[in-house]
Amino acid sequence: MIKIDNVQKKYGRAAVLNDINLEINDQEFLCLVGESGSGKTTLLKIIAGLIAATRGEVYIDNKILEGINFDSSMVFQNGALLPWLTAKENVLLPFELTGTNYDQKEIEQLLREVEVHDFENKTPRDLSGGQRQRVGIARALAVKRKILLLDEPFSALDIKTATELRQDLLDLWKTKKLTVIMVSHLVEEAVELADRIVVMKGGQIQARINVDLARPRNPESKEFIKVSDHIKAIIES
Amino acid sequence: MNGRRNHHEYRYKQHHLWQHNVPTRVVFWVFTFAFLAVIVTLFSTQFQSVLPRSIGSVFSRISIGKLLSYGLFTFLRLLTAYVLGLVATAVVIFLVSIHEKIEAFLVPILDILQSVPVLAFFPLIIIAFADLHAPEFSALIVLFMAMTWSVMFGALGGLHQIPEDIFEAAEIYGAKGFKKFTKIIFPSIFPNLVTGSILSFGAGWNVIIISEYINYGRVEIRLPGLGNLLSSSAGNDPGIFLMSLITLVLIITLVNRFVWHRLTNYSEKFKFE
Repeated sequence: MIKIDNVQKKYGRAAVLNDINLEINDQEFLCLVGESGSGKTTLLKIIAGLIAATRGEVYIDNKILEGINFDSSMVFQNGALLPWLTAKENVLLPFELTGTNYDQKEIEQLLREVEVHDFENKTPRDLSGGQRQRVGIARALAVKRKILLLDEPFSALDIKTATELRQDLLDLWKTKKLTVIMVSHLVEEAVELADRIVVMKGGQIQARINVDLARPRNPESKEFIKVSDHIKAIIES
Repeated sequence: MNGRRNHHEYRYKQHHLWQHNVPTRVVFWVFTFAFLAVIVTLFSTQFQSVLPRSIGSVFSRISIGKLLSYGLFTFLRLLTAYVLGLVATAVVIFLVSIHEKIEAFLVPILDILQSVPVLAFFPLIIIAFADLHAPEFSALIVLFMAMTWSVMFGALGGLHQIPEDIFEAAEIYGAKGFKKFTKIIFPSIFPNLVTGSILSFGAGWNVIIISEYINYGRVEIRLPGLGNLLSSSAGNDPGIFLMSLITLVLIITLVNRFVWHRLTNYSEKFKFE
């Protein structure tokens, strides 16, 4: 379980996060939504240990997080892939960096599962946006960490690719039993994916909304639209 | 395989550009002819009477072997200074990448050092190493002072161009210390290192004369090299001067064609989009 206890983040005098208290259950799919500058990415990076909170603590399974959160892996908006490595080499990068061994069969299996194997020898330059994100997801899963953090992973993709990847992400979340925390500025995306949505505004949590719709969720259903409109109203209020 | 294909595509595009870009070709030939015109004018006016005679008998005064060996000495001297500069750059980049505070401390010092004019600094170095009977060291230091900064500041610029999410991904996936440097930072700044190296060698060729032909007060040092040959033959042996110049141009052209041109093409694959 992840517990965020009274976290505040300031840059100089400006507070970008204030009084954040949040608990995230194991295997929960949580989405952070809000407008640009609402503090959602900062909060995600604090959970990842990439940014230190000015005040307050993050607990991972009741232990205070100090430094990088090695229980988590992360998928970035633009993939954060190294252009000189092939897709497969990018997936294997964490093992290269730490000098740890990996199971060749497991990696092959993962590349098939995330549908990277068809282009595993291509470099990022030759991949589409969707393929790059698949590589980013495969890299995040290769290290077998229980928390998956995603920072607007589908925002740069076309609608069809984003829809496909969202479905694949849901499948991976279920099969790998992951805790997923995803930042999104798209309310519909959050409603389609999340168990719970945290709405952020001005560096504070504005609302926490449980999404009790059965999966697969139909974005055209009345219930879906009702939840989406409710969240949008909170953001715009 | 894919990298190789990209490389070939890039080379093809470059070739294509050269073949079909008329302004590029015009500029190239205009500069070439302008350079040749300057050389011809210079020799035809200043050395009109002595040049043909001097060139005709030049190989009785200097052998091709000596000319080439002097060229090699100069090149090796430049290469040594460059490698030292590269090592210094690697150390600085490694330190700077550890923490922002190290950068805040180091960069202003380097900035002051790079602004010290090599000629003003020169007499002190000459006297120091002449007294130690180590003139090669004074030449190396002069070259080092002239060559290092373009590589170092190019690399520092490259370090700041690395996208933030690359550093974040590296941290999340456990990159630390030397591995972070070799696997992430060095390849990322490779294109900047290549560009800086080209400028560095350019700066090096500029100071070969003052590094090899030293005449300061009681100290006179002559090191085997093209700089010395150019300096000692200028004004009194146009034949040797011209041959030294041709050897110099030949070496610069070969290094450019077989090293920098290839490295520039190769560095394309390390560039972030």
